[in-house]
Amino acid sequence: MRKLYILVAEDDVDDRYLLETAFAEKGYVEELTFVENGVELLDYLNNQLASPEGAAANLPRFILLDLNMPKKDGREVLKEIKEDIRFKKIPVIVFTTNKNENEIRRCYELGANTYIVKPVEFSALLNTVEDIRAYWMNTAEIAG
Amino acid sequence: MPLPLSSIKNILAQGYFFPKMGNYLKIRKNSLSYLAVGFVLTLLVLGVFVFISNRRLSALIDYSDQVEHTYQVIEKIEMLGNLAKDAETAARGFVITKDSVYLEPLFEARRQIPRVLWALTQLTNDNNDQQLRIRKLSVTLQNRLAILNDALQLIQDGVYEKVMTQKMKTGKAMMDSFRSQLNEIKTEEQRLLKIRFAKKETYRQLTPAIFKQTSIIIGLVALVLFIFLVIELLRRLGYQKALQQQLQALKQSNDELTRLAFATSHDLQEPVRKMRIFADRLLSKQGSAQHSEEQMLLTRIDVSARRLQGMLEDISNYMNLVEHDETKQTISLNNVLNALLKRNELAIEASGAVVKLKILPELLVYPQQLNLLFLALLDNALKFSKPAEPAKIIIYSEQVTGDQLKNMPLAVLHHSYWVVHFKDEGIGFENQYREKIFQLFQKLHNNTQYAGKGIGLAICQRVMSNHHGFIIADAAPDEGADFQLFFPIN
Repeated sequence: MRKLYILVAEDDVDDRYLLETAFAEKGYVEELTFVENGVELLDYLNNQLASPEGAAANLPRFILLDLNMPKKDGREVLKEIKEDIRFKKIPVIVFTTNKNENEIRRCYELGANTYIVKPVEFSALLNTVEDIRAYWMNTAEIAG
Repeated sequence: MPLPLSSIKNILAQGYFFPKMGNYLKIRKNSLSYLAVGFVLTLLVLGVFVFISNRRLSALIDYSDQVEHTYQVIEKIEMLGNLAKDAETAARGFVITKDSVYLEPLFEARRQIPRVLWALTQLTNDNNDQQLRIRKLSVTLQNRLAILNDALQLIQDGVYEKVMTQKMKTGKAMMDSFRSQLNEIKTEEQRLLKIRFAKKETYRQLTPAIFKQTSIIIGLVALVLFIFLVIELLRRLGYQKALQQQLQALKQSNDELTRLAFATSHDLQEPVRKMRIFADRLLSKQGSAQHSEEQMLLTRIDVSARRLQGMLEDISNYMNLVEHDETKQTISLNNVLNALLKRNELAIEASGAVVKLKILPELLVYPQQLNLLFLALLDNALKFSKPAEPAKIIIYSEQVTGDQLKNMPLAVLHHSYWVVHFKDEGIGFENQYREKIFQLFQKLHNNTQYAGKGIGLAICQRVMSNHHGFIIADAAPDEGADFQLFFPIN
């Protein structure tokens, strides 16, 4: 049986590095899988469903989604995931630098489960990693 | 092509972009004065023209009536003469033939003569001399007719011819007198006719000339006014074109600023955030070597990056005021300020500040923006209080008219204003900086003296321009500052 994992959609190499470092420091680096934009994210999810091992079990425990990405940005892909009956139960955590209230409201309207502003200190990032992992990996379930 | 930072700061600091309207307003006022004078002049000329024309026409009609009247008098005089002649002729025919058939014109003349005499009397009632003459003529004629009657009676009675001859002689003398009197009356009427006709002719010739001259004058004035109007119109078209060009430039500048706002609020913040987080990572890795030079340098990098990040956030917040989507509400400024003071109760109490809030008006405003504005002013007053002396703030309002604010160029755009004073007794500042303090990132003190990035008052200015008003400050060193918010009253 495949291990529970987190799918991270992040185009920025520095942010990928920082997340990887933070997860590694906390001992969870093997849980991360990266895609670099919205198109890759949807392709990945579709491929997982199509793989011989089976369906829902291959999907990530939750998705960490950056908003500003090339090809298909976070808002578009969030909308598509939440409108797709196969993927809508996957929790989506928007992870962005944007603090704009309208943006936050819009993301929740599109179906985001959590909205987290990227921390500006590494120690804060470590705490964020710990918190979101503890909550979304072990505790929360999306109502069907 | 990206704008250099200095010009961006200037554009931001200016807030609204106002074209130089001063000269335009001056020229427009002069032109309007010329036009008003021109129109008043035209109306005056028209008035004089109508008055003179009316007088001329009345005179012309009067003299025409008088000429007509004189002709009627002359006609009656001639009629009277003819009737007298008919009577005379009839009498003579009867004397010769003794046939009463000849008497018929005499009887007719007797019937007609009183009527004609009455008509003559009526027609000449404006002329006493003629009336006297007519009365005299009437007596003569009556006498003559009486003599004729007597003579005819004598003939019918077969009286001796000698008596008859005497009557005929007397009758002739009377008839001669009648003719003479009649001629006198006629001559007078002809004299009057000549005078009246001459006057009528004068007015008949003069009136069209006056019409012509006045029309030429009015035409000239209208032409001058038309030329003025065309010049004014062309000038305005010129201004309109310049204004359109400036609006176009303004729109372009606004678009660039909006793009810049997005760049600053997101794209530029990204690398700064990473600088901070990597510096923080390095600092945490250096944990064991505390107080090393590397750690000190890393901390300085972090502080600078933090400051840059704060400034970028401020620009982003400021631009949110430019591209705001808030709707106006009628709200009491007391409510806005009471809520604000309540929210900042702790900070106010901690500083020991005293805030006196007087009665303020109810205005149609953007509540959230006003909240930002008053928060910035409150923050400013708390920050710049005198050392070891708690801030004293008084907030009150008054109403002023645009005329009272003639030394403020923007104030003339509205008739009256509500002025909200936000006055503190803090350290104040030199009045020469009263405009500079409202520019973005302009500060009168360095970072070590007073914290702050110099955005608060720029936000105040922006909020006021969003309300089509403005803000000014009046201050003196060590005597505090009076920030005055001008809200136009529509």
